Amino acid sequence: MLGDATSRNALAPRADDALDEHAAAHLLRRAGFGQPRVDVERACERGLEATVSTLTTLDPPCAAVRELDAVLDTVAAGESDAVAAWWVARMLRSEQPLREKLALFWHGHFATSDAKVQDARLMATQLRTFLDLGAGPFHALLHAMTRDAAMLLWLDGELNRKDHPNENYAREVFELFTLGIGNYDEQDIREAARALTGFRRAGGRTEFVRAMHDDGTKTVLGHRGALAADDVVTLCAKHPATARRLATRLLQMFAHPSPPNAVIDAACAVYADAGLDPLALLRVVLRSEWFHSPAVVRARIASPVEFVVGHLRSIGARADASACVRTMRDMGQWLLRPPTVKGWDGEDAWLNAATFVARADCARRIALGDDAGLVRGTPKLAAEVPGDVPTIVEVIAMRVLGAPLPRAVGEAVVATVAAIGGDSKAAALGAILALPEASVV
Amino acid sequence: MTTRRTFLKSCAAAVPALAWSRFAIAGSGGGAPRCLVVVRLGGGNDGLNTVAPIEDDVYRRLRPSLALTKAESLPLSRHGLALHPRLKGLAEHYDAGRLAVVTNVGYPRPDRSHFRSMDIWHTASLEPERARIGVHGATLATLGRETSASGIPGVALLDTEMPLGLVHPDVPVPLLASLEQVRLDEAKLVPLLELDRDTPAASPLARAVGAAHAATRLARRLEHVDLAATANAFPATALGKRLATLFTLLRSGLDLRIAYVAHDGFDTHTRQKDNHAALLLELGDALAAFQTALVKDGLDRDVVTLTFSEFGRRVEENGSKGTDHGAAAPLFVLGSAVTGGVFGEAPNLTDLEDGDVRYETDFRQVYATLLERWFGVDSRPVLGGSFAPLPFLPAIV
Repeated sequence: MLGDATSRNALAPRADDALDEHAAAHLLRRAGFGQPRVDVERACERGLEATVSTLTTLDPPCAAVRELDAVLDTVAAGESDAVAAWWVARMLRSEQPLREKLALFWHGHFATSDAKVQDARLMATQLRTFLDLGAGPFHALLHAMTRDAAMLLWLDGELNRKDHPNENYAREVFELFTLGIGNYDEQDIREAARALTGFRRAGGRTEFVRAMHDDGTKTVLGHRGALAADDVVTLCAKHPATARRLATRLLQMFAHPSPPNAVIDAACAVYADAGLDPLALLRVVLRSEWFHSPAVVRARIASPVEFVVGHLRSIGARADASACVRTMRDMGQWLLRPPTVKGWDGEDAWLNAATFVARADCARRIALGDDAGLVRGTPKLAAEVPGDVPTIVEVIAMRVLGAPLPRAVGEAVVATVAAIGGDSKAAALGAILALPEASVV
Repeated sequence: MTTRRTFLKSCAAAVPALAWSRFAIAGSGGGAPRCLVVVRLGGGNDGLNTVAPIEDDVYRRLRPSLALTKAESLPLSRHGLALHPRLKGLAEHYDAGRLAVVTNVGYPRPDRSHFRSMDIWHTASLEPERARIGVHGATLATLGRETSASGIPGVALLDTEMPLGLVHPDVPVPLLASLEQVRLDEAKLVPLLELDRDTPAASPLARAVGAAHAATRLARRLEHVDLAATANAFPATALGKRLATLFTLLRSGLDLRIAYVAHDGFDTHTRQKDNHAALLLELGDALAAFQTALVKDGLDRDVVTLTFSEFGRRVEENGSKGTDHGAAAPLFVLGSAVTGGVFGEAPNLTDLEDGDVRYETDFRQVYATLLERWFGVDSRPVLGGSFAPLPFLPAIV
């Protein structure tokens, strides 16, 4: 393809393979959660290519599946928070956090809420699909979502029957899950809804009932025939607009909220060539010169999940995952209960007076402890840091933020530590985590 | 290059916005600045069962299980229109001349996506992806930061996300689920969070610093507000509690200019009848209590309330005893300064657009009315065009 080589240059690999502390921390924060000290050191030793290769090579998720089965045996229908806590616990301790981060991406993409589903076991089953298929080609994931029991409830797939079509799922597949607005028309939605008829739940599983399916002729995206669900899935998954839309969204999650067009073009080409495999795209992005340029470092607002899990991992704290789920909810991200099928808007929308207070309150609880027991014991970091207050502030800032504080801010933190009193390491950690700098990732 | 934002700024500078708004305040007869309360009926409220064309045969024929009967509904003064029976609270304010019902509000080439249509309403633009600035945020920016002495000209009272309608880079406003939420656990952090940074205005760090500042401003402002005092005059519903919180803020002297409240759940694709009735009951009772409380405390001439939804619903009911996404629909404007009555015709159900009600009044005319006749500012720079105001508010002379 003409112009292909040029466009891919926008994601050309970084010339220098060496990683310093700042670059390693940036890579770890984006490919996972936070910047644990030991991981930063290992990345600096091994260099960019080897680190990206390790970060993007994931074991099969079979252990997660068994673990979740055990959780499901103990979860009641109304307890989606328990499932969310199980997930947060995995994020906190995972050695392959990219799997969890991709699952978080897909949870925001196929945003399904237990507010309507009202069955934690179905939400868990959907989450398992994200963990299972989220790091693989998109076609299989879309195929699974089209049959997913929570999704059938969430977007009225069960009510979509021959002679009584319900367009809810079909519309969101086109508008949000695949092509995006401007690439289809109302007729496509109506006909696709007919093709998607025939699914219903049987226990926690989904079955296809031929008698409920409309097997007449439909035309979807210019293709005519007795189309069924798999045809709609394939037509949508292979449409060029889908590759572009998903590549853009992946760039937004992992790199920059508004990537330049040349980068989107390059990402789209890589992603489409790899059969919409997100790991293939991320391998190229995370190694690129662009990803390591100043424009991309700290260019995102940390989501509440990234804020809580990231900081807890960075400081080596042992945390109560249920308390984490509640504090994320107070910051505006209630896992397994996104506000709408569009998911969370993210970036600027994360921050306002109330959610910022929630972040500052969370910072205080992480550092100084609280009745709800968010953190158990003393974080590793607080135990390790030596010296007088200015040194403590400097070291903690570097470990938590991956960058030094501006001088005036550093001095204000020192003054705040004195005002709060008590254990100065804990006060310094609380003050630094409450800074606006700690909400940027 | 002139961006929308610099354009807005230059217009705000050219039109003496502050002078206009002072004029408007003087016109209200009181000293308090005027406030607009926006109530979102998210999900697509079924306009045809909110203000029902009860004498229309087509309505009854296309809605065999959902049509309201003449006997149960609350008649309006003309057009064969009647309010849903559960809007009794609003009907009383209608009878007292405080409720304007604007019918068939919409826009050309209606979009039936929740998100896009909501964005269109929120940006007052038919191409919302090009203007990621909210119409209410732009209104606040036009009024100027100094419009609110407290530094909090706007607030969103809801528990999900900041609505696009309130978004403007120059006027960050807080989003609150409850007032408890903005009490800092560690008050000694306040001076640290009030620090400025030397960083480009559009950077994520600048936005985080802006949020920190908004948080400390609000925390300082609310230190002495009594939260429980008014709650019992309002229904104990989610919307009732939100409006009680808003009333507490207004009564405490917080000079809000725009408050945005959400009452979502109107996406009634299935079994609509009881769900919709419950939603309207909550709406009518909460709005009525809010208006009554404003009247009682003498704040009623300084507050108007607007309801809106991203679209109405299809005329013909679907196979699940619900209705699918539609187009034009009625909306309400409530307040003692409002000229009550019905503005617009009954929906014409024999001339539909893809099965939906055609719009008669452009939604931007409603915004133009509020900008020109409530806030006393030129509506054109905010709306990006000229839209004729409607007579539900008297012209400022």
